[in-house]
Amino acid sequence: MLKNSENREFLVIVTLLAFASANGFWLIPEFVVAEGTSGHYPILLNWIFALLSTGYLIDHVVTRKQKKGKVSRAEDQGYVRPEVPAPLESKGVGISLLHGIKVALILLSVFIWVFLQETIGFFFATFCFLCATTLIYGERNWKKIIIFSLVFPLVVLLVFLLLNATLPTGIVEETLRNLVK
Amino acid sequence: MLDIFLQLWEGFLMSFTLANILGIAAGYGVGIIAGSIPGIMGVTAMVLILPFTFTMPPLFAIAAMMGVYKGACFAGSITATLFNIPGTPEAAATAFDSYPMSQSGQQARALEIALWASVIGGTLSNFILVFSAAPLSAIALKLGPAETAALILFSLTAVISLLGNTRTDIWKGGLSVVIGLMIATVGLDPMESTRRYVFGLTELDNGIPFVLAVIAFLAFAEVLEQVGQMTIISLKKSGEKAKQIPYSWKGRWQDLKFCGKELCRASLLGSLFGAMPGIGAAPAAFVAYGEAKRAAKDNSLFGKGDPRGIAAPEAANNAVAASSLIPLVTLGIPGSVAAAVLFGAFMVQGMMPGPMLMRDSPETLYGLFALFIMTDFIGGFCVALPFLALVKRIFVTLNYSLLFPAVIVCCGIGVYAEEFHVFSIVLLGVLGGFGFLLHRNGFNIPALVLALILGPFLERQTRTAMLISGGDPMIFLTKPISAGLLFLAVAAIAWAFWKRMKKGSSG
Repeated sequence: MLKNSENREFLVIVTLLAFASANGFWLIPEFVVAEGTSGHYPILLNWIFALLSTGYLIDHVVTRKQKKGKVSRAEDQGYVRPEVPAPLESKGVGISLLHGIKVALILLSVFIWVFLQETIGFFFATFCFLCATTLIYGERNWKKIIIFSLVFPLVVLLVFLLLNATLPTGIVEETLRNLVK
Repeated sequence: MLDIFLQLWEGFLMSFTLANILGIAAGYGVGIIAGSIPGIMGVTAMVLILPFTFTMPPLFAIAAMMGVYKGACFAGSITATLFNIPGTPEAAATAFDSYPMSQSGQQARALEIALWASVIGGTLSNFILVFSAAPLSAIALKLGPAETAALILFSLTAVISLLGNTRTDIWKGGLSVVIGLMIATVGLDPMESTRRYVFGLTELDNGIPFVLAVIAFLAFAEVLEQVGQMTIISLKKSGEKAKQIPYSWKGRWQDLKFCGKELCRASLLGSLFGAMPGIGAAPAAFVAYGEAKRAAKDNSLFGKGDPRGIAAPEAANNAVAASSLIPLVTLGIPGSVAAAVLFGAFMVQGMMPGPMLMRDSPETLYGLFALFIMTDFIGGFCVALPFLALVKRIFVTLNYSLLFPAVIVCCGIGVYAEEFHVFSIVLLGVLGGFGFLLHRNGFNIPALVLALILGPFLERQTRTAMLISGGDPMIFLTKPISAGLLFLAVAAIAWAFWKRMKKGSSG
């Protein structure tokens, strides 16, 4: 369990340092300086970011060594480390993986929701989006899902109508409105 | 002194309208519901209603936002008392005594003590805000760009130094702040109006809108977090079965007298904690609880249902809510995430909180102070008491698998309503996903959001100071206030590391 979290920590630090390098060597020259903007402030921030990431890396490595040293000394004196079963979350599968998949599905649903709003309009898109996300969140009662997914976007539509604000109509909804007119 | 009273009176005359009262009541109701639902924080509710305030009159909008804030502050104690599940982190300190008292059949007593304490703590802190605003604003007006930049830097380092118990928390806190500052640089350069990090997207020219960033990082990321840990609420039926003892007027008066000293002490403590940027309500509530226990002659009942154990943390956490607005109102620097959201609401309404508002439009500011004072009384006595039973029912019957998708839709339409562009919803997804990843890896989201909000000010003030000095960074060290604040900023970080090294803990 400890090793897993330490490795994850190490991966985070490597990602941070990789970002600092990419920002310094590619993003700032390409998307800040090349646009004619002064790069001083972004460069200063990137240096602070890189220094903090390096400090974090050094601290992490030193602490890891200290922990290892402590354990081996204790083991030298005859201490036997008990086998502690790792909780389900730390096994990398099960809850954590499921959580990751659910989050990815929700994010994907959000992007599809945006695309659908521009094609079939807010009401139908939100109906589909709510059906999908309520399922991801664990609701299995179809009657509840359908009623909720129909009523909630209707309420939002009404509020926006009252506030005299517009919601995305999309090509399909636009065509339907023209047909009704 | 008399001048302040007169201005406050004029503020009351301006703010005491039916519309504002309704705004406070509606906001308080929303805040109570949101604050009592684990997973939906008061700030989340503030963020979600923020887009709906765009079209409201300024004072009504601020009244509603303030109502949500105060309502959520109190609401955390309702579920803590009834089910031992604190709706907000600071309510955990209240639960030590309010839950045992509720279990002994004194539910009404526990909830009412929490309510009284909230109102008294909030009101005392409001008066501290009213009386400190004018002198502090006068000092703030004398601060130049170098001093203001140093003050913002000190606020951010103070936030970092108070994070977590390990050195890792400090590193990640620092990195969170820098990430927030980096995100704030997206868009047009404030001095040269040239583009930065827009990747050819014209939609990013105006930067990442404040409302969008706050909704993405505080509301959407939190909803993504909840999908993995859907709250399973197993209600302890024993509490329901216990015979309830009615709470008499005599009992109310005796409790108030018994807790009077603790209420005053905790309110002052909370006000002090709130005035310092970044500390937040939870540490104030726990310190006030500890202080009440330490000062009590007989503390044997603490943890078993002592009224002082409810009054002290509740008064402290509500005092924090009001006094955390002191840096916002006097210096224009939000000292907490909730204050930052209020700052956004002020800006949307065309008001720039800070010393200039006090100098140019004191009547508006005192009108706001009057609203803050009214919020505690109207919300506490007209909304909270009748809401208690409703909250209990909502909490028991709430379907989380329908609630969270609805919150996502609210987030989506909230960000869409700001610019009426669906690109905002794409950005919400990207930033929300990023916020979720950061949170899962132990980064501090409130620190990131504070930095994101303060980032543009910090950059503008730093660059203005550098322009004044002709590019010489020594300007920050030659001015005594700025040098002092920078010294404090470095000292805060050094202290944080030293304290955690002494503990010998990292990772």
